Amino acid sequence: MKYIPIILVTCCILLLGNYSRAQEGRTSFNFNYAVQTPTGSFKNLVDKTSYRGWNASIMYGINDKISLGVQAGFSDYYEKFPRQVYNLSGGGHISAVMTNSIQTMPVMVKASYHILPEAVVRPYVALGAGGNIIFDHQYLGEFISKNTSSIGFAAATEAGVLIPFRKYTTSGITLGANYHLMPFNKNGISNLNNWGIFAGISLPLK
Amino acid sequence: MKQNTYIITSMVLAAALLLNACTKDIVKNLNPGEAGIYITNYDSSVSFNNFTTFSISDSVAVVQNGELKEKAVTAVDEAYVNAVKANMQERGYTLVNHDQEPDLGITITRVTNTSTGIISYPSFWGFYDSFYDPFFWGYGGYNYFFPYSFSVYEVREGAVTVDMVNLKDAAVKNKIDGVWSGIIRGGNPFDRNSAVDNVDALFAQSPYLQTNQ
Repeated sequence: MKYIPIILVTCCILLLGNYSRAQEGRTSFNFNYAVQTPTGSFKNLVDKTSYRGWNASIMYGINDKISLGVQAGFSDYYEKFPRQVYNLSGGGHISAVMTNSIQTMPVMVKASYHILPEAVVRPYVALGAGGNIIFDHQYLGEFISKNTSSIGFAAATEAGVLIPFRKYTTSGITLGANYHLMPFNKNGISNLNNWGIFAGISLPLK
Repeated sequence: MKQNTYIITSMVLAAALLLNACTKDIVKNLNPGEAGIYITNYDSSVSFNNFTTFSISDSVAVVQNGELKEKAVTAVDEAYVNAVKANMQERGYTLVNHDQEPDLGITITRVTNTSTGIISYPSFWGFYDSFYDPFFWGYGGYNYFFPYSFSVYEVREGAVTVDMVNLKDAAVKNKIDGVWSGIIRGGNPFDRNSAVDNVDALFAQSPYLQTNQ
């Protein structure tokens, strides 16, 4: 029994040799379902995890280890707060169920480093930076009280794995986690930073 | 490869659709009772404990698109009038007839607009004289004046407003000052069963409405 791990590791090393030139010169498309959780001051606006998100990227393999491309994403954050009385400017009061709704759409240039590009399970890390389209809505009851859109900066770190469907291909299942840095700086909220996990598929374009 | 192109094109289209589909519809996710909002404002220079009596119009002004259509006493109107009476009495004020020189006069207005209209104190209540003639309170010829202002609120479906005016000092000031107003918007303000809860909500956020009596 104690030899089983050694046998498994040996098998993996042997398999690595059969997955050569997995990235170089290839363009791949990746689409993921994404779950993102607010962190930092973003939690003052919306504290709930978003299960309504995705990201998609097109990456080109510079070599077997490094690929460059673009990535776009979308996350919808929503939280409804119990009825509360709020002060109005001028001394009035309003009692309402307040709902905050934030949508982020980061569009970034992305670079990936494939740690084991020839393995059965191919781990990678990635960095991205670019713009972020932000939609910020606030409702009091059924009435919209804030409806703004803005463009900000976004950066992301990402780590994940590609599990290819077969040898010599970039098509496969992707799994990973990411962290988004998104400055915002409005109404006492300094950022829309969030972390998340994602899963999807990767397909070769050429 | 061609197959992949189809798959990718489908995914991009799906992603575009997901932009809308993924966004949670805020209004549809409100439970009954969560859609309504209650707005109150008052003249902070007034001490409400100096008033002891009040009178309320038994009929409700029905205002459509800024025009007074009628004075009505439907079951809903009655429910609102009774709810206001009950809350005022709970706060220690004594109900008297409008010809018994009440300290405070209260009126209720149903506002319905077929297109988007705006409630903006005091401009909206610039029409107040036509809704409630000052003669009703025994102060014919006097003008109403609301010293405080709400923000602008658009009304499409409807709203109920409750307004309180200072009759005690009308003769001295030669005008009838508005001292407190409440607006009920959203949900179903014209639902008879919600009238009590709606009025209770207005008073709950106005703890200063209290007499010394």
